[in-house]
Amino acid sequence: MARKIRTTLAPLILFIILLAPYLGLLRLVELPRDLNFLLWAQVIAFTCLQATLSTIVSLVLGATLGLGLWMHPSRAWLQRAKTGLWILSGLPALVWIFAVFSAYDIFAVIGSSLLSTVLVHSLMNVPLVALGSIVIFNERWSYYVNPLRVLGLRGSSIWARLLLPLVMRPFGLVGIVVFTFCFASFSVPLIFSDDGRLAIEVYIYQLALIDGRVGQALLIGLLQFFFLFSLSLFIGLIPNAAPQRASEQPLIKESLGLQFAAWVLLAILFGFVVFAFRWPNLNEILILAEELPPAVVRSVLVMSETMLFTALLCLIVSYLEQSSWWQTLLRGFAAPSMSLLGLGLFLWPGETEAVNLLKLSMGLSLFMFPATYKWLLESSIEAMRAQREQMRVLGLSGWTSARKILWPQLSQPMSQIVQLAGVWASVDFALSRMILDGPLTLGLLASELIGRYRLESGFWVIVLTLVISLAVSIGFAWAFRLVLRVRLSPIGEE
Amino acid sequence: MVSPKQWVFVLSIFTLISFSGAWIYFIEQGKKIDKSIIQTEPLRVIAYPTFISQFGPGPEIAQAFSQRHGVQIKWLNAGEPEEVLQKLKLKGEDFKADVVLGLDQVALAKALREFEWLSMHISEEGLRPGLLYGEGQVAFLPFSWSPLGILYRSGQTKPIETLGELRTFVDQNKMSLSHPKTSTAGRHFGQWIFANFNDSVAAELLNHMLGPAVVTPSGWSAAYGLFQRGQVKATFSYLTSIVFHRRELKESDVTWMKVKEPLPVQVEYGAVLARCQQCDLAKKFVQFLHDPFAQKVIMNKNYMLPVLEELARDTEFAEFLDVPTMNLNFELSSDYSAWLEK
Repeated sequence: MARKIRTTLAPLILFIILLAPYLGLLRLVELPRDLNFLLWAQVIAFTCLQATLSTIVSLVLGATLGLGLWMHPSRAWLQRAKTGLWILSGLPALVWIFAVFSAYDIFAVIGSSLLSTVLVHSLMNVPLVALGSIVIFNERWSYYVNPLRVLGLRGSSIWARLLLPLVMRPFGLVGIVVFTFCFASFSVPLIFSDDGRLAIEVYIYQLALIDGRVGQALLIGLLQFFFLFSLSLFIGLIPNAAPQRASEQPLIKESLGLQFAAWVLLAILFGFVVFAFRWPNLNEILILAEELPPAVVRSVLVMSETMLFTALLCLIVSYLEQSSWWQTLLRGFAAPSMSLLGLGLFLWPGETEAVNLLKLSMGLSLFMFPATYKWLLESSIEAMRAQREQMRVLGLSGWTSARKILWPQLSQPMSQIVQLAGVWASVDFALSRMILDGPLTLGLLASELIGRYRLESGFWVIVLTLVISLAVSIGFAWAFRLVLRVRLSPIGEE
Repeated sequence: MVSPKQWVFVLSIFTLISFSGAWIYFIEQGKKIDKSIIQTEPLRVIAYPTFISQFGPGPEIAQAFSQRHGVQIKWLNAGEPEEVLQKLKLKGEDFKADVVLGLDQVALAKALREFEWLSMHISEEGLRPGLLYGEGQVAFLPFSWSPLGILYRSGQTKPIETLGELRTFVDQNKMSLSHPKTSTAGRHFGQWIFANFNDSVAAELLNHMLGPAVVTPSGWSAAYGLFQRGQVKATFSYLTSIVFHRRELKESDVTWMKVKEPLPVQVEYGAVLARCQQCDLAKKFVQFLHDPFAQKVIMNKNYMLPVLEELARDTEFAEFLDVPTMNLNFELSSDYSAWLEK
């Protein structure tokens, strides 16, 4: 019976939680009127174009960066570079948006919405793709490269016939994930839609909250959902051959050019942030003296609630029995529509500030969880399938095995997810803008300042936000990991 | 070398200090309020972000009104007028608000169609003529206005003399314009073009403006920010923004293109929702916007002209009082509406 609950009922409840924000939208369902298919086509074409370009740039630069770093002879340097990439990949969208705005300001140029969106998406995704690439090269090439070198086999035919085919499939999967993320992106196009070309999420937002055509917004949102759902399921259907060998040993160091390119790319990525973050006059933040303290408190509240909610989701998901149907559903839920999520939560009852902050936190964790789960937790949970079986054979209850064996082992990826959720929540402005009706959070304040081209003030707010969010999220994640590791294990202490 | 644990410790201490500082600040602020005269239920007022920010007129007006009537003002930021009306509609009775500020003249007809508003008496003494929507008891009280035009820096570009030259101008000079669909200023620009050209020419010109020729962010502040930082040569904005440049930025070269066509005008209105919970206070608050004190605060902090125009006579704003302007239209023309729909 207990197993039945874990395999069937609990996943169902979890899925209802994931869908709950959208329930409020049901009362708005109406027959769409005045469908403007031409505009739909333009919006979809623009979204596909920006997502495709973002994916291509991210893949090419990310793979080059990853390959160059992987070839580096020093494993210590590789580790340092990976740490740097982890830091860059954890930076929220607002930081990259600010960097791009600031770069435009320095060079006195104005980017088109397409260029700006692709640029920010690429800056956000290149570090992640590079990290993924290092893993892929380790898993797919390590086994072959040294024997090939020993045999003296080189040249384009080896690349074309052996090495490239080995990594095409995993890179294809990475490409689909990046495309899905860019296609459903809301916050970046919301800031950069300055030449009339709209991305699909911004269009849904405008239809629902400006034009009052909720029926159309829901229809397009539904189409987008099924498109991305199918795409995500497609990822799951592609057979992923088991890696031959995972090695951290130094292997080929043939291409100095690639290594050089990798270091240049890494320097550009860091340089983009450092150069854009010039240090303006501190007075720029002093003029915000009245608005900042309440914004800090609200942001810390939103962060804490988001991390708490994300931690609960992590615990529930890892506790559940891994059954194929609910994994499929969660996999397909990879990129929920942020504009519809925001609208749904906005329609939820409750108007006090505390309730609104709670709704925002819930929305943020539900929005971020599917992607971070796939990125950091899914494979770890999958790898423990055999252990679960052993525990069942040994007669351990689900609760005991989760508390004493599974959660302590999963404490690292789960605390990473929680920490990322905290940092990203602190600088959210897109969902906040839809749900909060007055009080500013730090993310909203920063985006408003950047939107008004008060870049100096915006800079200080972002710096303050990052410092606070890092402090709070590191502290929270550390405590969470500690609880999972120390309080819940080992099994003999019970 | 600092270990990760030491980092965590330092960061945790920092967080603790931030928290404590914020709470001490709140407690100190709370002590300053005379709670005996404050009602527990605040008056809920929807307004746009720049009105309620600490640089805008909202906080000062709220403080004066609170002292006079013993009620706290709770500001609600719901975005541009269209978004405000849509959120009110979607959320229905659950969206608790008493007053809406910042509706422009074009939003009034829609606001009347979709919501019920309380009527109130407005004294027309000293009020700039032609701003009222209706006669006698009216629902919408005008509280500020400004002509809109094309702003530029003298000496940096050659101004146009008629709207007919606009297309050539934008082909040669970078200009910013907030999008007609998502901002009130942009919508007034479109209305201006449709009022001065026949429909097909107007539509063609607007389409050209929304192409690569002009930068069109969704909101006015972003479009204006591009001009402020010198990234565009001209922008479509409120003429009263020029006073902001003179006062705050000490720039005297910003001026407007004196085209032969009369300029469009934006008027801001305040109104009381019929579903208000504190209706008497809400009416008093809206009427308080005509108090000379509130009008001066709006003029000096929102950089808009007061509707009691004598208050602007001997100020830097006086030069905009007699600029030739279009008659106030409370509805968009059908052709312009059709163009916006497309």
